[in-house]
Amino acid sequence: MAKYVVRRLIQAIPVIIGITIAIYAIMLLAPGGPQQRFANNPKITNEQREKFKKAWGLDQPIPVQYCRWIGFCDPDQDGIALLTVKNVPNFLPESLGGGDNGMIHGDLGFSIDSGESVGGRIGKAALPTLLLAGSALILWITLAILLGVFAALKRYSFFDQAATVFSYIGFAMPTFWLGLMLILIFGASLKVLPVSGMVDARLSPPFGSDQYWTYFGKSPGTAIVDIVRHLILPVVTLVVVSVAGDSRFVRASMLEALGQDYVRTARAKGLPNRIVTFRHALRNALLPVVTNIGLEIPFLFSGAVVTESIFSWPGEGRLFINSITNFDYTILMGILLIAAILTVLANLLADILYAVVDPRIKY
Amino acid sequence: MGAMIPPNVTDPDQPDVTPPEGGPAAADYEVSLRSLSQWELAWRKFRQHRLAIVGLGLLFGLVLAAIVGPIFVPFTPVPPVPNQLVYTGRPPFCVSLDEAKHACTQFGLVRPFGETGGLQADVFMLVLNGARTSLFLGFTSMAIGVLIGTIVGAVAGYVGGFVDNLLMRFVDVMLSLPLLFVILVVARFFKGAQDNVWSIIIVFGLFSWMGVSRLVRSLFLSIREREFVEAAKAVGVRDRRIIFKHILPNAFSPIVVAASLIVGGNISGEAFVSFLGFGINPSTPTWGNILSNALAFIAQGNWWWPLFPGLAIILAVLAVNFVGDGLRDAFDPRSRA
Amino acid sequence: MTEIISAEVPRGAPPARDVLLDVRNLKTYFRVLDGLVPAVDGVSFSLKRGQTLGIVGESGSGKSVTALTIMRLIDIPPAEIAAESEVWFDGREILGLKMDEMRKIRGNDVAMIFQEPLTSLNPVFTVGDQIAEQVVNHKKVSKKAAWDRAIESLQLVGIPSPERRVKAYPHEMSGGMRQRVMIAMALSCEPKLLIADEPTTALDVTIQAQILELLKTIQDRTGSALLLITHDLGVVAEMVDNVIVMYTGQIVEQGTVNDVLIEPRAPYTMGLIESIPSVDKRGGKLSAIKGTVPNPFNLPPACRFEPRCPYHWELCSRVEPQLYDIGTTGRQARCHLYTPEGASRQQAALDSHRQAMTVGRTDPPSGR
Repeated sequence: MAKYVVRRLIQAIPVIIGITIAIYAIMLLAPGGPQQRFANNPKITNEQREKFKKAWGLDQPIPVQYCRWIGFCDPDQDGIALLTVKNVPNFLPESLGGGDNGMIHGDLGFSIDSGESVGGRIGKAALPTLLLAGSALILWITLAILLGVFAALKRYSFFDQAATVFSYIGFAMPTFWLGLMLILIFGASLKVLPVSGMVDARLSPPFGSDQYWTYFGKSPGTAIVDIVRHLILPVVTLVVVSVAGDSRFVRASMLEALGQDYVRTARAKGLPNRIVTFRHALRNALLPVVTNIGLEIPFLFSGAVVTESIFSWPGEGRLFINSITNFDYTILMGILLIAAILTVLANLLADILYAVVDPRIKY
Repeated sequence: MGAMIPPNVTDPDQPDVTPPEGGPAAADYEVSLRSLSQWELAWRKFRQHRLAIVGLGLLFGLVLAAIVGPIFVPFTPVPPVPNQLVYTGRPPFCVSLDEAKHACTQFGLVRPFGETGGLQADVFMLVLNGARTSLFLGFTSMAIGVLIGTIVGAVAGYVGGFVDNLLMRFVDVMLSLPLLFVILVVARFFKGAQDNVWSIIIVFGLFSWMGVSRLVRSLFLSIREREFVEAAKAVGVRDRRIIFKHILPNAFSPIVVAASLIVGGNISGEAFVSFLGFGINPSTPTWGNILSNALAFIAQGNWWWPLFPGLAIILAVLAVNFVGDGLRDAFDPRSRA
Repeated sequence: MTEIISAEVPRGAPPARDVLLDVRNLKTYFRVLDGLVPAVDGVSFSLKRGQTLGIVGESGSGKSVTALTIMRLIDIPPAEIAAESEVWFDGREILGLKMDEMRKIRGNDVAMIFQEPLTSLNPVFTVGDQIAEQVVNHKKVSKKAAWDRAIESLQLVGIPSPERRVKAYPHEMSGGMRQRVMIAMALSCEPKLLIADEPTTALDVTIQAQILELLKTIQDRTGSALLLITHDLGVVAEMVDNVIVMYTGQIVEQGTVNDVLIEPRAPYTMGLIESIPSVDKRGGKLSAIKGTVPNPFNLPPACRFEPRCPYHWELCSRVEPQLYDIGTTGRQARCHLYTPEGASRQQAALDSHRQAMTVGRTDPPSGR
């Protein structure tokens, strides 16, 4: 098993390299580059634009910029400088005389907008997104399986038909629209749930700040309740569309398992219905469901963008949108990179999980 | 895939319909067969799928509304009124609004979908006009995606080897990127230079082909090896005929399903991208960009503004999904007629 | 799956003590879009304790459905079991039992072995797990005791190093071994009746022989009765005491295995026996029964075999034949040849068959 994981990780490396190239290429698609942020501002002189370009290394040719971003080229010298001024290969760790720039050294650059390190900025937005995506993941998996299994067991019943209607409609809904409607119903009309932000600004300091954690320490109960209340609508928005689609898949998988020969054998052995359904059929039905969910985890990222922008949730999604508006290339590239790597890891996880639960798979 | 043929001519694609030897008596207790062409069979199965027919009807209605509607209710872009106070917008069938009480004082036969806040545009007019662009975008971007995907997948699957490997690594990379993120960036940046509908269509098309390519490739791979292709080759059927008559018809069903999902996904996707302001310029309405400023007004109870465009999107996506399901069953050789 | 028979239908009397299984007028129909399919159409037979009965027939003759109906493994919609059908097992009528009661019998007193051992075993559980769960369920013993019993059963069916094999997964075994596992599973609770549905069809010929040998040995050792379902006449010849031949859901002939295979009486059986290629018939044409099995929605009005029968005459398309007795030993055939009206034609038919068996048919049988 360990060999399999290592082998897959090694196979992932060319993909990750390809991802970095792709990200770079995509950024290039935008004509103009980061200087676009000044495009419509007549007050910025040409001189200032040139200074800006030089400071950010935008005057260098593209391959050089790419090389610096990865960490193979020394940013303090012009052109492709694979060796530092001390004639040491730049990709080596700083302690050995190499450079301190680029992905290889764990440096994602600095935000063009705020000057903070990209890693730091992304890090700050990580916890809210993790909270949102994590809760959504748990809820999504649980509901999809429950709904799908019971729809399969009570096939053609009212419950099944209602579930089918729900899944068709839910799947056709644009996520952001669902968010809007939920805000309308629960926020504007019924006024029972908060519709923006992560914490109640009247009660607590902004999430993530030092004052917040002091506040949290003093009254964790209220703080948690506050967050949960703010979490409800965004999570529901995120979850509905996915559950709608997946529950049908679970139902189909369960029905197929129930029709298999080994279920007939289990019945022929005189086992009670409960065991036949949940031990024999469900276990097999869940196999493709596990892989499917593993493959769909990356959709949580897109979902995060949607929900965070609608509900003003201070996470990676909202950071991403804002960075687009500000032409903050470095942050955009950083988020894209991390999201892509997480996707690759999620796919790997799905494969491993499948190999673990299905004894037929040899690795 | 031709029409019925007289029983004496043998066509390798149609089962033999000559009566069995032994005279009419032998045929008495056997079931008589009339062979249907592939398209007839598909239509027959499609017809039986009630949801598919509903979907087809819905789609037809939407397309009709999209084409004809704007002729009767043309799009009139509303210029922003300078120094206007924030204005809520009137509910459906409301003629005048008491802003303080948020209640309608006079009802009439106007604005069946209500009015937007801010610019005071008729939502019905917006939805009707938005249909054109949204539907057009959905189908065209799907066509682009399916075209690219089929070509890439077919080349990879049929040629194999190094080319296949290279193409599939490329697909892996593309699929690892969080698509919505990428689309947002590209759409926004592209827009900076080329602010028209086609750039958004192309953007969506460029990011919808990957799934189809994998599908087509695996179909070509598996079908290439399957026994009936061997059998056809053994009888001497030429390569091109193999591809078109034998491989592609089997591929139809999954590609159709993928295509229907792409249309739905792109219509929804464009709606979100335009909602954020990164998509199509509001001078051309789409179901998404007419919602661009709605968020601020929802807090004031402006329910009609997001509701109707959203319903339009849901109906369109549902219709396409139903039709897709129906087509899948119709072309699946294993499903009964 | 719901209970099918209402309490109002009068019950027959239980059979004699030594009769383990008594099937009376079993009718299982399937309701499909195009109509009602009579999969099993009035089948009656009985099996004594320790005996072996073979049910022979082509695909679609209803033999598997018969077995599944006895086990009540048929889904009730779309299937329907006629109210007048009765199945008596070990002194109790089981078609009318509540499902809970039936489950106590299944796997415990009656066990079934299926055709395809790979798909019939659950791929995600070990072989030992699958045997042990049955033992735990029926005998209410501890897991350890059940596990030991599983190892015992594997040993009984001749699997080498059973303590190791018991932890294996089905896909890690060969086809023959998997079928042994199925048999071990069936035996683990010491059933009185073993139903084997085409147990060797999916296996290689050499393995087939081993499995059949195994079944015989086990039967001798445990004294259980065996209901063997197959389309393979060779298997039947090896294994059974009595034979039932089925065609389109009906029994067309029954008797001891010697009688039926060496001196068949029903034309269908004759056709089956004749179609077995033999070295003695070298030079003649390969014989096959002309025509095909009729469409269940379009069955011939009287005798169902009539269109394909070499010995038919006008009575056969007018009146439906019943199972007529031949002699006094319980031999029966569904053919008008064994009625007073058909008596005159009997000898010609038997002679024709005898000739076909020695030299093979050189021309198509009369009537076609």
